Amino acid sequence: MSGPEGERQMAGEEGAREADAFDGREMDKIIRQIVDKVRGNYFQNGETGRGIPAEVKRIIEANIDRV
Amino acid sequence: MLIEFIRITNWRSFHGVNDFFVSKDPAKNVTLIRAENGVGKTSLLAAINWCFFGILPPESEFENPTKLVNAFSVEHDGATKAVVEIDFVHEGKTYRASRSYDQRTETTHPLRLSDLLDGGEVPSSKDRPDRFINSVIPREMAPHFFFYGEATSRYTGATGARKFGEAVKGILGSTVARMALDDLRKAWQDYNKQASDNTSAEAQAAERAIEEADQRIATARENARKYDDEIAAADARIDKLNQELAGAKPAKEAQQRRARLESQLASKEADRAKAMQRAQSWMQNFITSVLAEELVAEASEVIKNEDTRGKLPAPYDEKFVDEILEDGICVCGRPIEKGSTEYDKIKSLLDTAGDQAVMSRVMTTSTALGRLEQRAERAWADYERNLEDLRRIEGEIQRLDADLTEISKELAANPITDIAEKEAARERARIQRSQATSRKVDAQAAIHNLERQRSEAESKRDELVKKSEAARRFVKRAQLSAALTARLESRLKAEEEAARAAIESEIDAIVKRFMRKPATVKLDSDYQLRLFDEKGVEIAKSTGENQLLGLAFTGAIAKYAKEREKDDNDILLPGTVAPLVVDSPFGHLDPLYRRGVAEFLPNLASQVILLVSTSQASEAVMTTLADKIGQEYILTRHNRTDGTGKQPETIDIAGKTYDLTAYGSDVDGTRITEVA
Repeated sequence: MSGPEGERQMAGEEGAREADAFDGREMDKIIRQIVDKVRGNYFQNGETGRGIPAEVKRIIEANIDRV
Repeated sequence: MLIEFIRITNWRSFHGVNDFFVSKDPAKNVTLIRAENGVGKTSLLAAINWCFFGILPPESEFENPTKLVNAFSVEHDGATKAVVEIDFVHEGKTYRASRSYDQRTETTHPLRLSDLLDGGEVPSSKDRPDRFINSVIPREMAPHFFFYGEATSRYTGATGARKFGEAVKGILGSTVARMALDDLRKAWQDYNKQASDNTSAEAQAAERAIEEADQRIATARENARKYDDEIAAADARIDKLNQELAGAKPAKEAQQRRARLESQLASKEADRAKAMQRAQSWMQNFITSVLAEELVAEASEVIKNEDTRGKLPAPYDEKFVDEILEDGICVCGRPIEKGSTEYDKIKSLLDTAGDQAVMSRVMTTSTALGRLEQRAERAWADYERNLEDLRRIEGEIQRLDADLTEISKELAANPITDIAEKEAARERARIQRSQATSRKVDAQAAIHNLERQRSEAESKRDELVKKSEAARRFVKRAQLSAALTARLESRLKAEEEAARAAIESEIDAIVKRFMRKPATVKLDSDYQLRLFDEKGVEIAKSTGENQLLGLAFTGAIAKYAKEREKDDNDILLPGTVAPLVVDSPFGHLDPLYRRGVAEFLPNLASQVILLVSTSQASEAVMTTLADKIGQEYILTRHNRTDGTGKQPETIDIAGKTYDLTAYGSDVDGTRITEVA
């Protein structure tokens, strides 16, 4: 697992504030798409494989106008 | 998954081909393998892990990891390969997993997987066997199914808590969700960067400061983790050496004394931590009154002087005098002419009259000053008491440290070389532990400082970005990434909390049933496993109790994984049914606890393989396990020597005698014998 812990906390605090601005059900739908994509990558390349933030950004782009 | 059959060929101490069936009978789900020390129990456990995942135990527990082929076979039979094959059933189909090792080239070959149809082996349709095995038993869950029983007693303290936490997360199959979280955080970071790129140079500089802080935080965290591992490794070495010293007769008494003193030291260190905590609270509670002490004294003096001069409290106020003059009537009822002597006399009272609001404020201030004075007096009394406590505790700690140093010197000077060497090794481990602990504290302080710097840079960046029109597009995406991260984190946390609560309740039930003292188990949100008595006071755990708790924990997570097998969760991997393979589960346990473990372990997992020494397989254990044993084997050590002067080692089972050690054999190595 990579990614600094400090950044996690920051994302968490800011995210908690932002979360209220978006619809929970819609967010769960996006999370499902992201986790599906990551799961595919995990089974393909294992835990040590590189992350796929670009794919995650594509999913966010595709949904940004909907939320 | 259920294991059906295991075949090991020339693996470590095992000579030639050795195979055995594993019981699949749900009513008799225990396969018992008995062997004395050094014959091959740990090797057998390692073989299973290695076959499925290519993992070997750490070198400290598994010497010469490049010499996997049985030495006798290499020398006399010209063997170059060791092979482990495991037949298992998964979702109605039977598979054979096999892995081999070529000692000439020191090559571990990839896992091979075949389908078994009517006993025959056909190539499997699975194009990547390792991925298939990972889907049957996720690699993260494997260490909690195939493990060394005595190691569970180390599930204490901070490192133990980390192991508990990792186990719960592992068994939940949260790896994928955590990888998704990492990707989301990277996306969030990218959007923030893009937002900064579209704003002023100042915002970009703040962004660079954030990135730099992130990198330094990551390095510091990595270091802290490394120090944690060093602490855990030193703890493990100290534990092992403690046990070895306690087992050596000339060192036994000193080791027992040391254990007592260390327990007292731990309690004093806890007291010191509490006293330090009190000192910190003192700062928070009294710092204002202490710092303001001089100022308060001066202010009180001023008010007192005014009071002495009759101005405070003033005998009359401005409003009262003004009203008399305005109405032109004295309080006695006589009229007062403007310009008369009486009028001027009353008007002169205004020089000393007080303003009502000001007077009220002065009185309030005076009361507050009084409170501050009182607090300052109490502050110093508390300060003295805390200081005295700290001095006393420090003195006691120094005395205990000195006694421990004496014991260490005493053992180091023991004429028996082995004891002196063990003590020297223990002292080295203790110094390494202390160095790693101090480096960890430094790393944590650095992290704290960097996080503060990062937070400041972030606030600055956010302020500047908000002002930019061009950045708005990325800000919205960054906000969504942050919101998704928070939501996924909170869902994961809820799942972990549910798992933690279920596992806690299972362990609690085991403790209530099997532990001799009445106790309640708490698995904290930070995964510290604690025991409390009926009054809610925490109870210290012995090594044996720790092992019992560790095994209860492992059994509980195996059960939880089984319950989650059909779980249709969109963020977690489903659970799994896998055999529990435990090497030396009864090590530190007394007869009562051995019986307890023998009773609860088979009930928690679908299939259990127990690797035990004859002393561990006591009568109490065997009586409890009797109805559950589906298959039973003996590992026999064969020696070519004639065994002159050696005690024969045999065991009688159901009226038949089996050799645990055989002399005058054709080979040197271990063989598996089925108990009829």
